Amino acid sequence: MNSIKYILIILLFVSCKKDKIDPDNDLPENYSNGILVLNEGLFQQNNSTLSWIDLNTNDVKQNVFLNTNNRLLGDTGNDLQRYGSKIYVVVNSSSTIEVLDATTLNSIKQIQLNFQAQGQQPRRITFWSNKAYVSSYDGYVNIIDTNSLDVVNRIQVGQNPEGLAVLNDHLFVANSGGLSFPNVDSTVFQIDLTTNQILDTFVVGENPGDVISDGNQNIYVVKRGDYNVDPSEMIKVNVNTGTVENTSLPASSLSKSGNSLYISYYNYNTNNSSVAIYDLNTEAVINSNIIGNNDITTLYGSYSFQGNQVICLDAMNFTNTGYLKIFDYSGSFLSSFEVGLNPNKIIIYE
Amino acid sequence: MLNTLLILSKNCFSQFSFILRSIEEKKCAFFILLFFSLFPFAFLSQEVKEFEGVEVLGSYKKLLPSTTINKEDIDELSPHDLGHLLQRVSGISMRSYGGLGGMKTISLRGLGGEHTKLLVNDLPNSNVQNGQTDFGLIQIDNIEEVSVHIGESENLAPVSAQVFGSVISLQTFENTFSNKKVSANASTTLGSFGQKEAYLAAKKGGESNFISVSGKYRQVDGDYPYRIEIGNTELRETRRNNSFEEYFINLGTGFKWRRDSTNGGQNIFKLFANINGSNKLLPGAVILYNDYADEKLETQNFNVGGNYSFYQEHFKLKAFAIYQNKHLRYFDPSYFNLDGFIDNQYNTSILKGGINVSYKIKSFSLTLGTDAENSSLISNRENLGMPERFSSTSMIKVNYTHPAIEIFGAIFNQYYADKNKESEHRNEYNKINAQVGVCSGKKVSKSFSFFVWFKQSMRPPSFNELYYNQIGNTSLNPEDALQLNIGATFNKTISNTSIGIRSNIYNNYIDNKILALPTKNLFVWSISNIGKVHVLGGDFEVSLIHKINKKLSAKVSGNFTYQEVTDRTDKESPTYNHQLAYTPKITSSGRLAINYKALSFYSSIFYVGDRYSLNQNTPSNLVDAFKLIDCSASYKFKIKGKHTLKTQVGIKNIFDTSYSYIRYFVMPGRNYFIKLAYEFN
Repeated sequence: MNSIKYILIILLFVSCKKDKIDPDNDLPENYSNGILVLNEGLFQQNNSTLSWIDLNTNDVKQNVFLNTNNRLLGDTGNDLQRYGSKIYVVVNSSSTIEVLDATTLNSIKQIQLNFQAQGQQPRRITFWSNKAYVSSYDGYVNIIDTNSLDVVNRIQVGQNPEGLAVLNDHLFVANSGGLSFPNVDSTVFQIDLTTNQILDTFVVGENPGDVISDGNQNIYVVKRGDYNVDPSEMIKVNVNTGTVENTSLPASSLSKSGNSLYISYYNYNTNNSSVAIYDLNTEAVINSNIIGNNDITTLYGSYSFQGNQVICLDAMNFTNTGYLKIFDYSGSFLSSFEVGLNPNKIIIYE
Repeated sequence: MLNTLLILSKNCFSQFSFILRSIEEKKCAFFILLFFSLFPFAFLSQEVKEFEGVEVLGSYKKLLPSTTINKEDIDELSPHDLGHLLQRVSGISMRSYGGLGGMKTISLRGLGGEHTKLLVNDLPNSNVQNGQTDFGLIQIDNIEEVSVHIGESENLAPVSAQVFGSVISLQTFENTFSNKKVSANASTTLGSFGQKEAYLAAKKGGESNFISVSGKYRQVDGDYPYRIEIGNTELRETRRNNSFEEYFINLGTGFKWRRDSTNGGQNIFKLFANINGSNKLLPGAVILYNDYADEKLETQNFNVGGNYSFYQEHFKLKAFAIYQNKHLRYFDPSYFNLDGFIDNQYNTSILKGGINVSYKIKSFSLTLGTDAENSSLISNRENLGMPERFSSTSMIKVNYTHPAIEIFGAIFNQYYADKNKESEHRNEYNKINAQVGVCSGKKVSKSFSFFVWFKQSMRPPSFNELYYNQIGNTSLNPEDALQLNIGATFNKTISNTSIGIRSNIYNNYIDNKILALPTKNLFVWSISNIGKVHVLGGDFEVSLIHKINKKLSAKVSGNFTYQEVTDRTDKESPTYNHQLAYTPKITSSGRLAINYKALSFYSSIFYVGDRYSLNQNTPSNLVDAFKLIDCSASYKFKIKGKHTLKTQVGIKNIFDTSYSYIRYFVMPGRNYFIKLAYEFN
């Protein structure tokens, strides 16, 4: 019996240590000629990541934030934008803004967005005159000084603000009300950035999301509807005349390149994805769908690339690794890169 | 985007996922196997389960072996709750949503938690709202015996339970006859992280009647420290919003009588009532850089039920009736919606009754059974409506007994009709399932027994799956399971040593699996019958009891389970053939108990292999394997006569392992407890 006891005790100390997978430290010192991808990850899994696609070699580096900064990005990355020499990553559930050096991706500052100890859940970021404006689910837009990187003020807006756009010293904020679903909000606020006062309210339709400005007189808003009978469509708001017009163009998200608006749409009833190009000058559709339906599982966003190509973000089924896929304007598939979970935003490096 | 996920994870508790095949895991497995080959583990029991008061059981007993955990095992392991105890049973993988008071669901042989039915004192526990039982809410102080039936349940058990993939059956102190005129128990436990508990139980009566009461209160602060790696940095924090309190009060009574002393048969009548409740703060998953948590969950349950049994040599009858009322409240005081909070309340009422009769002619016995249930749910949630379900199950079962072979075959018919005042009415559905089992008899071998069984079962969609706003799908069909099993047991006692070995190989198929996937977008999930799963598994259990002399004895036992639970839904999918999320391929546990006079020493080891947090088996979804070792020692003082005082001191997670069942639902490190128990018999 004694021998059994000793063997048992010895075995108790045998540990099943496992060798960690070596992190990929072969990262560029200066990032150029590539695509930086924000992968949203999944809620409560702290698995939002950055991927880097090197366009010289077509290599993809995963977990770039982790391997550069020795810590994880956090939970649910919602926005990725560049302003000046800095990159801003909005991490919703972690309630942080990660500010990175655009060249090295080294962390400059992690800004915590808490109010009375509770995370404010930031969603989107936009910039104007050395200030960053961050919509936060608690019903505020936080103002961050892009030099000191401190929160300097906050503006109370509607329920669960999402998309932001600046046009002529005015900020447009989409109040989604998404967390009260199905009793959602349907308004866009116009805020004077010199006084931070709300000037006007536009009723655009249920559950507004993305907002983009044409730099002239219009803003374009995606009203996402009720995911049932009320479809997800693009709304045009002429801020000079105050007219709100439903373009009836199916839309899930928007991006802009020069005078072209890229309208991504994923139809959850048919599982079809499309990317339309809309001319902001003529206010007309140039091409109603430039991608083949079979190539994308779940379109999560699209961007113009190299003048005659389009980058599509494919979230697959939202729980499997996503892809970045490139097509030309004739819809021919050019290349595909495996990235992280739910890629939703990119920055293209020249 | 978070909203629905949040609700899903908090209210539906839908989680998805799978596993791994790394060299490291094999290494660990090797050590565990080594451990095994030297000593066995686990709960093996070959006792024939007898109905109380029945002398000759003949073919009324259950044919296939089941796993039994008795009071002694429970005391040795000192688990925190039933979930914590059950995770050690072969083929069970538990999901614990963090902390001591976190929700715990179990999956048996890859089938998913909804395929397991819980019986408390032979009365079925129904959970139509989410289909799963939270085994973290079931305390163990009053449990005399836990048995896990997979291949077959007892003939006279409620038929709606027998038709399930597996049955977990509890017998409690308040519902068992005793050979003592008066018995009483009292215990108090103090543990790390502010754990305080007190339990009291008393029973008056004996073999022909009893009346009994028990009660328990427990409070835990739960503010334990934890460590998690975030890249190359280690985060050290303390769990917040993790305290809870819970209680139960049970009442039981039973009578046994015979109409005349010779052949009139034995009558048994039992009543059982229970009130239990809990009030838990929910810490949630660890969210990096944001440790704010203020949600809470309250439960209040009331159960009352009874059994009447009649046993004669050739005829047996058992009838039951139960009423259950379950109240659940989820409260988030600081949600960013219009109200500024979420206060979801659900009230479920269940009325259920049934009867089984069994008649024996020579080597054959015929059992007929039926039961019916009506359940309804009222909630303050918009769009959920007022779901109501009527279901009934019938069974015909035939047993054949021969000294060389025993066979059973059963056919079940299940009928379900669901309706909802505010949603569309749905069609009713009917399902026929069959079970067959063959077992070798004593004539083949006295020590060995071989068995093969086949079992069809299903689980209905839960109310959440049918009606949850934006997610629910009223056209869901039941999820089907098919289990095939080959196994053998070996039991022998040689002088002072008794050995028990059991092994099984099984092959299960799940079809029409109900999956919740974010098919619309991350905001809006959809539920449909699209899944297919294949399970190939095996387990091996050994137990060894050695009596060195009157004063010294040792007991060693262990088990090892290997399961490939793979997604077979869509060949084109990146997860095809991948191990399902949070389903370890390897689980293993072992125990050692040494008793010397009044002093006892217990040690146990528990291992869960690598798992994946999502169905895609990629390195970034890998959740590390863990191994826990607990030790405790107890000493029994005989005060005088019938009074005994026992003290037990223990350390759990001796090596302060940092681990979690579900990613980022961190579990406590090393912790201690001391228990003082008084017994009067």
